[in-house]
This record gives sequence, structure tokens and C-alpha cells, in this order.
Amino acid sequence: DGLEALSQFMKQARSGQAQFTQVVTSPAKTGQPPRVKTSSGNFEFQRPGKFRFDYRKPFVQTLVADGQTLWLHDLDLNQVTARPQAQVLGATPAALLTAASDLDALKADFQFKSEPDKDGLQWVRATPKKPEGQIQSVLVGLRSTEKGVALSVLDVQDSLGQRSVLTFSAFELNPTLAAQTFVFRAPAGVDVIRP
Amino acid sequence: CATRIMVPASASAYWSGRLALQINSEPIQQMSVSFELQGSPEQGELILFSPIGTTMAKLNWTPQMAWIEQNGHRNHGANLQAMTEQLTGTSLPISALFEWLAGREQAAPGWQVDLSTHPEGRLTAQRKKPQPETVLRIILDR
Repeated sequence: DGLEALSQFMKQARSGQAQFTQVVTSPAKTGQPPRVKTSSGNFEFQRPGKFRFDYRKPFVQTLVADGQTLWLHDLDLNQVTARPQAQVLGATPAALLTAASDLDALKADFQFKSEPDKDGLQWVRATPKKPEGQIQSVLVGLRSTEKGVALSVLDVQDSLGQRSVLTFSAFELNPTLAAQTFVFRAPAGVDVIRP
Repeated sequence: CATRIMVPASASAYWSGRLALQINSEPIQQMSVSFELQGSPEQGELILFSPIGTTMAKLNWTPQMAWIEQNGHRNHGANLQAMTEQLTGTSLPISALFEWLAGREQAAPGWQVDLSTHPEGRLTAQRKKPQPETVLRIILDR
């Protein structure tokens, strides 16, 4: 079931690489259609603690977690900001899934409940034990393949009514990723402020 | 008889985009968020998002009151000006900002604004006085 698939994913996937599409839906205001924003790019992770989002559309943004610091480079704004990784980890489910060493580490902060299989995926819902965080619930969709369990969907409902659905495709399990992948290099001419 | 449609006094404007703020204090402070802003200096809503699309804070204000929702808590503030000061660590020229976003020049003490690239959805404003020097850059979604 979903929980079994997630536990297997957490055991097997030491690293991963995939393309992603993210659809963020803000709650509809009275008399207005809900606002939807779509972005896409490449996602990589190396357990424990390292991940990278390379947003390409609609604008270029790079987010690198090197194990200590979460770096954000926004090309258009020509600015790099850095935050201690622990400070922002709670708000990024993708980070939680890839940073945590195993399922038990996650069980400290989340309650898990398997949901029925659907769309060829196994599903498990994670609900934060501390309610006042930004996340209300995370629905994780996993795909069992002959090579192992791949992460397919992260459907996050946050406490202010915002929903963000991350869909991964071309998921590669345990690729060998160059160490440089998770080392942030500031582009020339951008002043970098460490936290 | 024809029903008159009541259009609110300031037909509520809406902007969404990204904002970068740099305060050249000691140490330098920086903030970069995506945002959705609706309404006017008197009444409206501002939502701030993290880079990965999670909501960081939601600010609402009316002539009578203002409040901010963050991490499951709702705190009341005096007004939008006070709340943005608490959030960013510096005072931002709120009413001028609404004019700048609409592409209209508006003076704000100590601030210089460059609206030359507003047609491409970009604006930069800089405050030299009072210290610390502050730079605000905004890119509007197209």
C-alpha cells in the first residue's frame, strides 16, 4: 500500500533526478476564478540533506540545498539569498522527503495514512503533528516500477488555502550525481549574503 | 429599471510578481519573495509565497483594521504600513508603491523610483535617506 511504497522509496532512493511540473492554485476569491501558476524545470536530490530545483519556466530560478544552507538565485532579480537549511526545511515537502534519512525520521513530525491506489500510483497522506506549520497536508503519489519505487506526485495543501501539485516525470532512481551538483556557485556580479 | 452595478470606488487593482528587497544595514539584509497584491492602500490583500510556492504570509487590511496570517497564527497590526515594516525590517512607501505598480510617478520622501522599464513589468526604487540605504526591485508576472 502507499505507506509500504513510501517506506521502500525512503530506503532505496539514495539519490534521484527528474523533470517536474508545478501547478500552484490560490484559493478562489468571491466572484473570481482561482489563480493558477504553472512552472517547470529539473529536480535532483542526494540523501541526506541535499536537493536542487532548477526552475526554467516561466522564469529562471535556482534553489540549491547543500546540506547546511538553502541558496536561492533569481536570475531576473539578479539576487542570491541564503538561509540556514533547517530554518526553511519545514515548508518544503520535497525537501523533507529527500532530506530525511528514513521514514522514521519523518514520523517524528508527520502522521502517515495510506490512501487507495489511483491513476496507477500508490498514495499516502502525511499530516504534520504540529498543526501551526505552513503545511496542512501532503499527499504523496508513488509509482512502483521494476527498478524500484519512484516519486511521482507531491500534492501539498497549505494552511492558507494554497495548493501546490508537483508532478515528476522521467524519474531516475539512484543516478550518480556529481558532487558539484549540490555546490552553489554564485554567478559573476551578484553579491551573495550569507545568513 | 436597469440595475446599477456598483463599481467599488477604486476598482481593485491586482498585481502578481516577484520582489527583492536589500537593506544595506550591518549586516546586510535581503528578502526575495513572490507575491500577489490586490486592492488599494486603504483596503486589500497581499500574499507572499516562498520560492517553491508555499504561502509564507497573508496580509489583509481595511480602513478599520489590519491583520497578518502566518504559520497558523493571526496577528493584528495597526495598518499595512506597520505590518510591512515588521515583516521586512524597513518602512516601505505603501501608497507610493501602489502608484509605481500602476506605472505612475509618485514622490516618496527619501525614495527615488525608476519606472523606465515599467512597460516590461519591472521597477526599481532606492531609498538613500534615511539610512540604511534600501533597494527594492519588482518584476511583474506577464
